Amino acid sequence: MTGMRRPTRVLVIDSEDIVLNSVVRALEDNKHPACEVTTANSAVDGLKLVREKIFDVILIDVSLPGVNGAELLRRIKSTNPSIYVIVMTGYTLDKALLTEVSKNADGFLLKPFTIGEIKSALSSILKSSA
Amino acid sequence: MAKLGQPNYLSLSTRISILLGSIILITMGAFSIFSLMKQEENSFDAVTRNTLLLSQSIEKVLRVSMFRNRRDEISAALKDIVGEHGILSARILNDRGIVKFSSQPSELNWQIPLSNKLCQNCHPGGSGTAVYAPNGFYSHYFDKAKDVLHSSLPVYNAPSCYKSNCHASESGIAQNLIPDVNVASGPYHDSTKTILGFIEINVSTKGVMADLERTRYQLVILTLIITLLASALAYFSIRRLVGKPVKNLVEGTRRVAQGDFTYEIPAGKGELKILAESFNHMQNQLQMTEAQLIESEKLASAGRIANQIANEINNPLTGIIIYSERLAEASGTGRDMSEDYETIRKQALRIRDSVRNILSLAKLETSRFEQTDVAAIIKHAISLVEKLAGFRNIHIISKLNSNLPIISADPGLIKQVMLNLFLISSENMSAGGVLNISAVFNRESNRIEVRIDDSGKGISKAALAVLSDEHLNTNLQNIDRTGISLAVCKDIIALHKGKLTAELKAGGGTSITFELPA
Repeated sequence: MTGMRRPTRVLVIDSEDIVLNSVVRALEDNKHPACEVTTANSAVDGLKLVREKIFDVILIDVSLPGVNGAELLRRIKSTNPSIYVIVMTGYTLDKALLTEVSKNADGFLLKPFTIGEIKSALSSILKSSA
Repeated sequence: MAKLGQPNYLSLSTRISILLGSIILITMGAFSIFSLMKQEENSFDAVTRNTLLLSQSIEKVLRVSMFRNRRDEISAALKDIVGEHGILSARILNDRGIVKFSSQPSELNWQIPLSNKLCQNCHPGGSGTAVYAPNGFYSHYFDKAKDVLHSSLPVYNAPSCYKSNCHASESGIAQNLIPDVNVASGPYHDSTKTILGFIEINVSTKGVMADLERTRYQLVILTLIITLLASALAYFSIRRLVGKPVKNLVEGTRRVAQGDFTYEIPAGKGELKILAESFNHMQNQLQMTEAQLIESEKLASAGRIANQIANEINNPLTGIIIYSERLAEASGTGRDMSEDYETIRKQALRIRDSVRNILSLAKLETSRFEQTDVAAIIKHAISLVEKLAGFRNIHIISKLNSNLPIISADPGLIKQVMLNLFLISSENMSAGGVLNISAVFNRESNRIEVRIDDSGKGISKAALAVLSDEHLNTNLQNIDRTGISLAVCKDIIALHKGKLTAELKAGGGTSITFELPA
């Protein structure tokens, strides 16, 4: 990694705008770590962005309506294996999905989360990769 | 499709009884017909034999009386025997078929034509020349219409017949036995003749026929009685031994078809017992499968509802928490609002924890026990929490004994307990620390003992109180989030008939232990 100069490029994929906006607001101070946040409110848009642009970390809700979360995760990883994925999830996940998701996820974030929680989730990933 | 249990068919017992009755009837009938035929044959043989013996006796009387020239004795003998043993009439003919002696005087000198059935044996077609008849030949036939046996015994020529003269020694008078042959003296009978005459006896067979009729009647009655008795016996035996168990089985099958799996078939004997046992086994399997289906249905719908609730509540809460945090940071001017924002944030967090725990309690209602490897669950739970941000500075040390038995438990719930306990520890060690996890199998108590030790600041007294008061977990308002978490864990362990305890360590930190029966 090139250190703290370049902000971390973060993509957030969630079906609800309130979640997308909250992540943007939580990271907008651009400190600890400095982030550049892009959002997508559907799996299709998210995958399109992953193919077109370069991201360091993807925050994704695997229980998006009408989407197989595990399959989505696999596609993201196969498009860009070096990308970090943090799975945002509500309380429930079915067993099979959890098993599949935990294979490809680099971190978990339980919804709802605080600014502190999202920041430490990001920094622990970036730190481990540093 | 055939409807079970509809009374539109003959019962099994009735059908088998009818079959058995028919078999007995046919067997007995065949046997009766055969024995009747045999008896008839034997009866007629006996009549024939008796008649022959009688004819031979008459022949002896005839010869003796001939030599004595006692014609009256012959006629008297013939009259005497009529009426005895069913004898209707008796006569003696000469070789030309002319009646010489008879029990009926009216037929004397009557010539029997060769067309007579008795003559036909030796004179077929009424031929005057007789075919050869061996000595001892006896002609007879049954007139079935009149129930009469006609018999004719030839009287063969003998030296005594043509050598002796017929002058009776007593009277000295020559007697011409056959008046139309004019022989004055000397041997009377012609030595060239083979047959001198015939002894004919007619016997009524009415008595024999009546006996046969009576026997036939008795056999028919006997056959019917045996058939009826055997069928009735078979009917009641089959009804008792087969019919009732089969009826039970039919009833059971019908109930199963209607979705009632509770009907247990009483065990019979032999194959029927095996059948009943198999049926009951199948019934239990169906019951279990149905229960599992209902259970998984419940789980699936509970899962869907929980998922929906989680999204509906958690997503807005994410917004509330983050926006209030941002507002608190930004409120630098004018009246200090940060305390108000902090209140909003805290209340939002409280809702978050309540939702998580309510969902845990909901999960308890649909627990599903199966063969569970506790060690594997602990390892999996560790691998999950290791990735959480809160565990960044926590060093996890696990010592899981290799001899932990597989136990009956709900793996999802046990994992929930492990995750809850790990999260409680991590909250108490926000500045980092060591988390010790150990699991051993206590052979004496036959229980798996799991212990989680942290080096944190220790859980609150209120949270500890939860474990000592069974009713507190219904009153969520007065307990902190650690307390609610512990209450959920305690309930889950209690559901597994185990026990969960927590204590504050003297040197700081918390030690939580739970036991699960093997």
